[in-house]
Amino acid sequence: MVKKMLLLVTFLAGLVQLYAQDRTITGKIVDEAGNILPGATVTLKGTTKVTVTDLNGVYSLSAPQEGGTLVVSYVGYTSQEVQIGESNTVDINLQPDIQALNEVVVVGYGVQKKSLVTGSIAKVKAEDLANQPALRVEQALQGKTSGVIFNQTSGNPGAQVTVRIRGVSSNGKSEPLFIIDGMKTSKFVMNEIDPADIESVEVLKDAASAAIYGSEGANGVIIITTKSGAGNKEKVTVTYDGYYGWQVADPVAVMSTAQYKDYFREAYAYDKSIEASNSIKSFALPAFVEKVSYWTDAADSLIFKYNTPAYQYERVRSIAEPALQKALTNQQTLLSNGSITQKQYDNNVKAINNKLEALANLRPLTFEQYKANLFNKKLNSPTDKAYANIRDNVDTTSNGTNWMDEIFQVAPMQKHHISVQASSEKANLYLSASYFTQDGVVGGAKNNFTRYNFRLNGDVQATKWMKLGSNVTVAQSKSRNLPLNDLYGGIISAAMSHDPTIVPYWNDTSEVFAYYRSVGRNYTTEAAREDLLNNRLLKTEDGRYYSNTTMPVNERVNPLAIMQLSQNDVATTERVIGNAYSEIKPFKFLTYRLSFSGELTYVTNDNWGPAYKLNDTRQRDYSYVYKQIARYYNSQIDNTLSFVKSFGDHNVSATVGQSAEQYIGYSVNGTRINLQELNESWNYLDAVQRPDTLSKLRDDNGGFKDKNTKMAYFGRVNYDFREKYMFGATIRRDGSSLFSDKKRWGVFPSFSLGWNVHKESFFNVPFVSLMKVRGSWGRNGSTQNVDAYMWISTKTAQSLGGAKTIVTGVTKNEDLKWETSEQTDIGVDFGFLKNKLTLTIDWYNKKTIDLLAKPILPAWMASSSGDVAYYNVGEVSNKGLEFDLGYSDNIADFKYDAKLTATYLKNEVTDFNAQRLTGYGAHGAPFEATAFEEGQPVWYFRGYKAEGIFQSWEEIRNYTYTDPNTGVVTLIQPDAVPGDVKIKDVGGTVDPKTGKASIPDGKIDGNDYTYVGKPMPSWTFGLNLNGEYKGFDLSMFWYAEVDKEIYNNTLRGDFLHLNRAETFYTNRWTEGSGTNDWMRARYTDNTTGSTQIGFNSLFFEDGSFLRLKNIQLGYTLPVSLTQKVQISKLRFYVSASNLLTFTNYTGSDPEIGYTGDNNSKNHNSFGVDRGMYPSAKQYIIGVNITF
Amino acid sequence: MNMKMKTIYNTFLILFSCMAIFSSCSEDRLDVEPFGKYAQDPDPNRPLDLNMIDGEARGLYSQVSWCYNTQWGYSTYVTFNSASDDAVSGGAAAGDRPEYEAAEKFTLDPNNLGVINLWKRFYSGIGSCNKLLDNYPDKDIDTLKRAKAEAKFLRAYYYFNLVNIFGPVPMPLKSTDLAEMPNTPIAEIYAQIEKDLNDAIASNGLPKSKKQLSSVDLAITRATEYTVRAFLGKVYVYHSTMLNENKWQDAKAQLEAVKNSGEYSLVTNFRSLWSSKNEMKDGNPESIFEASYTDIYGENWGGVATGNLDMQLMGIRDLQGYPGLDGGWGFCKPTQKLVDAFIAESDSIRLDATVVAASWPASIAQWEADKKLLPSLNSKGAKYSEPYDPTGYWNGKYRQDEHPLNADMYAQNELIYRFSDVLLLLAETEYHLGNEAAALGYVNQIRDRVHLAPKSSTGMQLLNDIRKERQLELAMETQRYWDLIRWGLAAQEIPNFKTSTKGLWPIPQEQLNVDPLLKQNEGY
Repeated sequence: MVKKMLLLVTFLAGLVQLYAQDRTITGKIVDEAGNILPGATVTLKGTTKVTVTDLNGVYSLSAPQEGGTLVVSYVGYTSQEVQIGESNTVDINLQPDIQALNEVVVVGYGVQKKSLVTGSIAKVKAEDLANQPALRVEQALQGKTSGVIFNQTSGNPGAQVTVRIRGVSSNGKSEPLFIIDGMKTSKFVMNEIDPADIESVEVLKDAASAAIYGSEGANGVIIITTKSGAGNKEKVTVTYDGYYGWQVADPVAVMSTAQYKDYFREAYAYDKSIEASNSIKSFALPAFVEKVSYWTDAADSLIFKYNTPAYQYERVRSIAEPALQKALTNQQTLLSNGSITQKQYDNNVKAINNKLEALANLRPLTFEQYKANLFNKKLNSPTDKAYANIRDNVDTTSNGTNWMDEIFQVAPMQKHHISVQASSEKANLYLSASYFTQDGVVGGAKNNFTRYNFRLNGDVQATKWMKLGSNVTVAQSKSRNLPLNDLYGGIISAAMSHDPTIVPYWNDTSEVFAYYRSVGRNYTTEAAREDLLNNRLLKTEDGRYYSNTTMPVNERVNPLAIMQLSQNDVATTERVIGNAYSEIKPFKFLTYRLSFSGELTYVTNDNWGPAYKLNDTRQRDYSYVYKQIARYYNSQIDNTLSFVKSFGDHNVSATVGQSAEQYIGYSVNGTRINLQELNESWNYLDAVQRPDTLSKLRDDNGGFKDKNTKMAYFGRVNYDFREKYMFGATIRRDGSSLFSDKKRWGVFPSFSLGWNVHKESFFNVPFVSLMKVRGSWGRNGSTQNVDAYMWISTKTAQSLGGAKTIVTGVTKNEDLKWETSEQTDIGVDFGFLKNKLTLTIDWYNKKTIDLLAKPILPAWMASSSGDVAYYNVGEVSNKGLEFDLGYSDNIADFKYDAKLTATYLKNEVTDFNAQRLTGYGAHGAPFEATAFEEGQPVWYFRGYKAEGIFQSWEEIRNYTYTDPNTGVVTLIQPDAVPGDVKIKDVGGTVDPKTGKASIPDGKIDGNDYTYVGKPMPSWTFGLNLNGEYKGFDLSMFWYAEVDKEIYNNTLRGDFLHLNRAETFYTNRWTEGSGTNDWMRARYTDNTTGSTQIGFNSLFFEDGSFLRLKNIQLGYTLPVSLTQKVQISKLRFYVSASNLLTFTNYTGSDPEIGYTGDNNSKNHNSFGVDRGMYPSAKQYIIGVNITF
Repeated sequence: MNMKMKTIYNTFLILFSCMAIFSSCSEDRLDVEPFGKYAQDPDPNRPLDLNMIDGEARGLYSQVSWCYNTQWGYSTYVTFNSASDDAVSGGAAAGDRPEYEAAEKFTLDPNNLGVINLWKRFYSGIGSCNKLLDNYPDKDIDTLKRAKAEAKFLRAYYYFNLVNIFGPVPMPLKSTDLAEMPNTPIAEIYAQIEKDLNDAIASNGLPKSKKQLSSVDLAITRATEYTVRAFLGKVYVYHSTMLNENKWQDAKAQLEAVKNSGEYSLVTNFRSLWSSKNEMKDGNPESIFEASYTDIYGENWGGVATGNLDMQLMGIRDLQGYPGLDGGWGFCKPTQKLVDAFIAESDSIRLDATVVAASWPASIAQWEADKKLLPSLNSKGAKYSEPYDPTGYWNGKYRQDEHPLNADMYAQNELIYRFSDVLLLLAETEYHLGNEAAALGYVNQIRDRVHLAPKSSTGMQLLNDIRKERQLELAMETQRYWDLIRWGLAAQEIPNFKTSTKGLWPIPQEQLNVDPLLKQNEGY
């Protein structure tokens, strides 16, 4: 690939032609204040002669002996043409380009002068994108514009980015609409677009601006315009950008082997003493009082065997003694009513007295003594098996393994991008090719993402009245997918939790068999041993074996083994996106445009793997190969007719149009098992040559076909009077095959007004150079949560025990329609000090109604699997404030600018019957960590409210509830011990007024789940700082999110015997030296309702952070030097991303969006950290060369 | 019109026609038919599609399996064994599956997901039966008559479950019955169940004998006339005991018809009843009705697995090193009380079949060491854990060693109704009709199969013996809970039983929210 790129460079460089010189013109380029302008481009008009000013602002150029015109251009200044006179010295003054006045923004089916824009549209230009080496355009946009929140879904190469414009407006997906060169597309396409090919990005934030996209504009629109060849007609520009970088991860620290051993000895002793005291509790049960034999086992428990720690002493005495006394009395009763014989009575009384004596002899031990006792004895009752595992484990002398160190590594990344821009009176051409590759900090090349991208944009003025053009991208991306952000079997969660006392590899088979013997598998026959070694065990490349632990781990096994097993899972996307258009301009005021767009995508998934056995849960009896090819084809035809004309002081522009779209999806997949050979070259379906019974059972294939169509009619009119008073209106009528013919069409209107106050004669504030007040209202729709045929009721063919059956579907809902958003926006734009200082403030109020949800319907209306139809219910409100503050100036040769964006968001579900949407939250039933509920933020965090840690028995005894009716006082957490989390009793008793269980009831259960945080930040900030001095440039980008929570969900409640974050050790409560902020060592959560682990607010952490997202230092060589080798610009730079992070969050990365699988409907899991792949620190060196 | 205007006019005309041509303006483009799906409502203008009707009738049975167990938290099987004194809920820890825990501890509330889901499942089954009954006309066509008889049978089956679990529930009988329906008195529901079953028999639409069933029909245990009669007999027994009304003669008529049909008999080897190789389709003569499961990869019911999940739920937790057993999650563990009941009767054959033990209790003469079908785990050196509700026992009737694992999918069908249940119901019926000798005969027939000495009791002792026999014979088969309730023994035998609720479950809150006519059961 690199070779091909070099060839292209050579070829393109050849296009730069050279001419002989006639006379030499020199001069100095300065700005209005007399500051010199190094790097300004000076061209001799009508020729290809061009040069650039040096560090002193001086240029020198050959020109014909007579005449000639110089064209001088410089970024941020208006280009100027100067006739060459007789003098050979031509000095030129450039005037700053007041962008706010002349800049044009893309508004969808057209452009508009920025000064006349009445909506809220943010524009990000190519040069703003360039100072950050981003893979995806969304990453480059982060913090550049207010009102938009970008978050990582994962740090792994090729991962998607979560984009939310003005909050979250749905219980389902709230993705903005992406438009590339007029073509509707999706965020998934961004993986195949190189940010370096982008000319500008416009973000349509308010409803009026987005209204031209009608039914799909409700979540905002991101319009991407790729580069064109238009520009310098004097010269072909060839540009090369390339960088090479290293990524270093900073993963969350887990307990070291020594800490782990220490922690679990302690946890074990705590839990043993609690278990013992709990078995004492059963003494008080009626059955135990009656039948002595029932409790002999229990009484023989650890309390008596190992004495009791002071920690539990009081409790044991207070329960056991009265119970035994009661049993004693009961024996008397039993004897007197003849239930037992005298002999039985004597035996029982003797046994009870023995226990009483033992109890009397109990002496409290210190916790350390108790712990030592425990670890010196062998425990043999069946229920001690799991405990014994832990004890054996922490008793080893092994130094163990830091699994996080094992899986993380320094990973390389690089990018090369080359482009050619050529322009003439008749035609413009932009050509580019790029190559990007990035290894993962987890797994390195096993987690690689690679992209090739080619682009050809061209347009031709065919006749005076007709222009033809086309934009085409051909791209391929390939990602190797490891199971990463997954609580169940993912590599990171496995590394965080895996047994740290074992080594990562076994060197020989004796260790393998020693392990299997220790878990009770003896492999006595030679055949069984052979089978295990040859067909089951996974080997490293150098022939070692992956180790295993005797601890129960289920699917969480050696993370290195998961890595090797998953490395052949490759997803390849091949995409062609393009359009072809013609513009006919019969009159100056009228343009007709016809455009065909298409996006053809093939997604291929390849996977194969061996049979293996990592433990009894994670194993596969057969090797297999899986293939899937999916083909998606989107096509779109747009017809628009645009009218622009001025009638005196009245300026009118209007657009009417019509659009039709079609989507077809198609996929086939297949699986075969028992591959003939296990290597890449046998990685196809027909490689299986020995079908057998098992194979028949597992060989599987499938596929789907899907289609939907859309049509639209739209119109827009803009009017202004002397560019002082502006008015705009848009209407779009959309039809979609996704709905029944009753609800197929929707109409989406909008209106907007603007007033350029500074143009008024009465407005005379000297330092205010610009003041515009604007307001808009509009309505948009969203169909992204609607699947094809969602409204239809269907019967489905299924199989039951080999019989073909047909099952009925849900009761249909023909009234299903779009989600609709209505938004009001009021904004004001200021320019101060000749627009050196700019400020934009926007306030908006957005309401979304008709959310799609499955309400609770009488179950007899449900389908065979209990499903019901989607209905339009519910309402969400997003309100916000946005600030964009910019300042740019220079001090002599030092040019600088700063841009601060700030976003405030208040997001709330305003109408939703909580009873109507259950069972949809992240984490799943019964505990749903996120919930969609009226009066709360969208998918807010819900859990037990922790009120600190119990420091003593006294605190537990004092944490009581008094029944208002009976006056009886009970303990709220009767099972708690010191070091446990104190949970707030929020509800339980039904409030007669509201009908909700909102009155405390003295019990901790599901009624006590309450608000414990929200995933979306209230405030986001972005700060860009740029400075330039004599060829050096420095830029910095800081990003902050304030007031949000993250659900740190990396510890599974059912795997508490495994390792965990170091903070569990360092912050833990211990007897006597307690802290009040973290729980004691523990390895079970045996509380009713699992209050202690995962579900309480200790795990919903403050996720606010400030991060230095990027810092870049560049140096541009003096032009005088580089132009000798025909290079007009040569810049080197070093850059670092994610260098500094300030946060209280203890997990791996506070910059977390929707986690989990990219394609699934994971909208309910924003901010849920399941072992998140952290964003790596990236160190990059790069070069930009322009020929 | 001057020249310039005319040019403009013509241009507009041309441009608009361009737009029309290029975009195929017809709104028919928006009619996109679904791929690979049948429309819900049959087209009245087309002849009846008998294949479709037969397929739909078969489809009704998939809901029996689905109702029984297809999601981890809501297995009817695990729930009602845990609610009785047969088993505890088990699992990894308190709160692992609160649905089962609440069933065992009688801490159910109307928002419990187990409660909600069981309710939903049975009603969705009823909804499907109603749709089939309403969607097709009554015509004298065999396929149609059979489908409708089956719909009535299954609707009765679902209402029988609902009335036992929830008591006075709403009773929609039409597919047009929508949101709001009041509670129906229990007696009316019984009357409707009996009417549906009698109608199904009277319609003559059902096959008379299992021999008329195809292998595919046998795989899903499609109803014959005797399936329906067996259920009707059971309903009458419940009717007599639960409502204290004398329906014993009706019960006897149906149950004897089943007994005398020659369709069913007891298998010799008790334990072989729970083998995936001895289902009705394999010729098991004792099986009357089964929930059908498959381990075929990729099969599901709209996202719901088609395998027997109970097997995974009830397997031994964290099991390592026991050949042939894959282990599971340790739910639904037999209690010491149940084991003691077997030991008291020296009933080693049924204990072997019903219970898997970590180490056998030293009783029944050292447990006849050689007869143990699953030698104790400890002696094999296997590792496992029992973190919650430890009893040392696991369910033996659906043990994993009989059935190859397929990614948590087990093909083993579950026996919902078997012939020995019929015989024991007959014994109970005869007892209440005063025919003690006949009653004793049935009990001894059951005992003889497992090599236990015959009983010769009379009077109250005989009734107790019949009850004891039901406990041992049908242990871990979800019968015990309702048996205890209808015998009035629930409070006495079930440790956590809440008398205030009469053993009925709460009506789901979400249903009460959408149905203002509906009232909550007593005690909630």
